[in-house]
Amino acid sequence: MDPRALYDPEILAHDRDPRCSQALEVRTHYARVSNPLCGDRVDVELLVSGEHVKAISCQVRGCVIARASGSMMAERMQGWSVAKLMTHIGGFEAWLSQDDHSAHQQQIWAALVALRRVRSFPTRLPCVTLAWTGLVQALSSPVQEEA
Amino acid sequence: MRDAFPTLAQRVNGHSLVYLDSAGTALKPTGVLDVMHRAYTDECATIHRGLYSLSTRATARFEKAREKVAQLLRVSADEIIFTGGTTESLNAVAWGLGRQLLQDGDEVLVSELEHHSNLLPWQRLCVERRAILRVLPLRCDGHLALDTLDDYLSCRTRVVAISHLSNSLGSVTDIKYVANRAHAVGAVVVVDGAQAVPHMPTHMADLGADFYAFSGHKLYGPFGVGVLWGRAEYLKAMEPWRLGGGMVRSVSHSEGVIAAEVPHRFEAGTPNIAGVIGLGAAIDWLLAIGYAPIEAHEAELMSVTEGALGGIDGLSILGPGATRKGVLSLVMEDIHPHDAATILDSMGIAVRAGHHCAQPVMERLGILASLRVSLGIYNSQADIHRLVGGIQEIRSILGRGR
Repeated sequence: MDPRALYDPEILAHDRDPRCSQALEVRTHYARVSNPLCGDRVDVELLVSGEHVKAISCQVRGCVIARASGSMMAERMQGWSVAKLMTHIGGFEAWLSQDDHSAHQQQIWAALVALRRVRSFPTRLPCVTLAWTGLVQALSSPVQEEA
Repeated sequence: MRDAFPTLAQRVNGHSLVYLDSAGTALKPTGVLDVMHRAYTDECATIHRGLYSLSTRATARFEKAREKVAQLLRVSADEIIFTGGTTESLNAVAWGLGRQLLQDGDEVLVSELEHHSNLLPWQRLCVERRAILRVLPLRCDGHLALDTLDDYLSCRTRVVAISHLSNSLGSVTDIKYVANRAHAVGAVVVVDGAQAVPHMPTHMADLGADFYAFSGHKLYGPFGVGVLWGRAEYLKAMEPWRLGGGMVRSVSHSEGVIAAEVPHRFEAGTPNIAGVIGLGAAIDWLLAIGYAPIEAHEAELMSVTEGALGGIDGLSILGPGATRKGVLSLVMEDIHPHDAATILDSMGIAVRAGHHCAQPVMERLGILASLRVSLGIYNSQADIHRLVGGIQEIRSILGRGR
């Protein structure tokens, strides 16, 4: 088990320079989630306008894997319609950890394939999914006063 | 010594195993496992019930284990209660005695070093009894601020709940001093000894506490068995926290339950018989080696560990320096402990990363989590060299050049 298989250049690049990690000036949705085992914390802010998530900010205080996952998630999902997000987000975890998936799923998540390296390190799966839990919670957590 | 521990015979991720999480659980020597196997085979019977030979033998072994625990703590065997572990022992005191002791406005003192298991039961009890939970602070050097102890005690202090050896930093607290001061205000002293018992002698007469709790599995014994020692007068006053078979003198539908004598009144139901017998075997094994050689070996190893890790750029060792025992926590600049632990695991090195069930300690030190290295009797300098080699590689694997 070579740790370099997990900490590959793409993951490390996202960790070093996370995308979409600046707080949003205007946000419509917000959630904070934590991993009780290590105290890692993710803040997800969304700017939803009309049907679409125009902007995502994902700020991760955590390990390389949590940071890279948050960065890749925000970069990939930004601009999606809320409906599309709601349809597909539940399938991410299955795609992450299972071997068989449809061509459609493969196409949706292709840009995140580096995260599937965590399959060989199952104790780190929660590090990947933390930001995604934050995104799901943010979608159902409108910030009324700021909308 | 390594050969006595079958767990160490395996290869993990292609490497021989370096086990540095004895504060999580200590590995079990073959002798202990053999005794437990016998308890499940040749002597498999319930205790204190059967009139047949098997049960008589199991009962004798079980009660012999109580004497061994008593020998370890140098107390009377009828002050030893078997539980499921330290957590159950501490909850038992909080529920069984703490509820009786606390009235509106009374105080419980815990320390900032406590494992959650010696904090949460008292926290809940204080809410229930409208009592006040006070917290003796931790100094930046990893020791409790014992010089301020008297400021935290008052005539309303009913309980002082404190750990003997910190599971997160390895700090040893002077229980004798704490007990002395606490008794001066009439408080009961409850000690979490889970981490201390494997590393140092714990003779109750020397400590002066009123309750002492520890677990079998951190003492080279089985999981799921623990001990609560209490002073006879407090045990007499304590309510049993669970009711059932084996702890009654007589029961009828109209009269309810009349509890038997201590310690059996606290051991309702079928206990972890093989666990208790295994714990007895672990104590035999440990006392045959003796604490003096264990302490000497671990002190030397800890000093080598500190020396080797102290030379690594960007690595900080937390806590109490040379006085630590068994446990060393560290943080690495710009490197999350979970990433470090994953990389070390890939090299066959088992260490713990996280908050070690002591979130207030981490908060106090301004960190989220640490990497914890903890020693057992089977560790050697070769293990420490492997650890240091592994730690030195972490930075390059994570692409953080220095």
